[in-house]
Amino acid sequence: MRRILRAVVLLQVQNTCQIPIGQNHPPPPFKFLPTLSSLSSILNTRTQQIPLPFLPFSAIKHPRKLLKFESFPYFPIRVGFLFPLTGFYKKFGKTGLPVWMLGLSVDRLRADMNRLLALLFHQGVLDEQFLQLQQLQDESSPNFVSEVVNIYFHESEKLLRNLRALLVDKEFSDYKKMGVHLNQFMGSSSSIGAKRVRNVCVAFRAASEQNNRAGCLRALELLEYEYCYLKNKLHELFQIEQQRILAAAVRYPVQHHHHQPNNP
Amino acid sequence: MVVYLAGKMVIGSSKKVVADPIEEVRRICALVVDDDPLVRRIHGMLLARYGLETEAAENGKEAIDLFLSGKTFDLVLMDMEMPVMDGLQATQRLRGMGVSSMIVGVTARGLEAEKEAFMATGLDACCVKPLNAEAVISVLDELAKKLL
Repeated sequence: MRRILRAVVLLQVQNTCQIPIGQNHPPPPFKFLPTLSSLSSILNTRTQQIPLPFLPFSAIKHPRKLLKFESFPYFPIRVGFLFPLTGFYKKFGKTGLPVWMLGLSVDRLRADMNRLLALLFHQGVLDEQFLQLQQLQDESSPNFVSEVVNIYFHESEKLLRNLRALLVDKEFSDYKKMGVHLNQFMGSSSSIGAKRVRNVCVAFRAASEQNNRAGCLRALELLEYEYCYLKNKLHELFQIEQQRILAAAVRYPVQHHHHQPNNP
Repeated sequence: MVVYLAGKMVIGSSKKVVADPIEEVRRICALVVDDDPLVRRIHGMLLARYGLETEAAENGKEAIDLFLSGKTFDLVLMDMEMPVMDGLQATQRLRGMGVSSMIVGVTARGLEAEKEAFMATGLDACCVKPLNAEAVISVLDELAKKLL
């Protein structure tokens, strides 16, 4: 019986529900928790180290016993489909991490975000203009910063392709056109606070004004490097923010108040 | 006519309270002219934060077409370098058409010679991109003095 149950549990783990990130979905109820990948990142454990997902059901009833199983992840497991109306489901159907443990991840994620931002400011990758963008974000525009940054990525990659296409051409001589692209890149980078990218654009523009093709090629390589670094770091920042929002949503599920007509 | 600014009857940083509305109330309209979609989004959001109604144009020609279609704007943020028609030509054309809106030039470069050339076309002020909250408040202060 235990073997059958274990096989069923393993099958269910493969079909766990996916909680979409970055969309306005209501917070999931207690039974449906984040998927393995997001949960493992929240708990800061590597997926490969996670053992087989077999829950000691007796531990669920006694939270202090969970401390013994800290290294075991808790997966959203649905066994109710086998025993929908029996006492087994009612007794053992609720699985997953207890809510009091999830709360710890929100503060940790916030600290990780602040640490990453401080690092980016310290490295000179971002400047105070990025903070101005964050201040513009509010309840009416909750995704303003990520929207703006995505526009920046889209436009920047277009400009980088144009710049590379110009320089790769052996008969290239239109430095004025290059200057136009660089001005736009500088303006965009200044607008989101991408300080190091902007500084490389300044050096790049100086080389193009001197019609220095070799200097322009070197500047382009450096520009592509700085842009990639910035993009990776901003992706990391937004990923942590999404995990923090998700963890906060699970920690504080929406309370549905049922208005009764007799009560004022 | 009462100017409705930022959700309250206040003007800039002086917190001067205007009298009760008499007949009609309208919001201040602003036009952001820039070829960079990122800058249009950011400047539009900055102005909207202070209660302005904003529209956008990708170049000087589109801005002129908007005015020719009968639309009016109290404030125009005009980028200097744009394709099709740049900020200098657009500002000259608008002033030639008799547009008396406040036109503020924005440029990525801070070179004095370029700013002076831009101002000579008929700008009321010239700022360096990107605009921040202090620059916007200063522009709105000037706009309030012009409107009242």
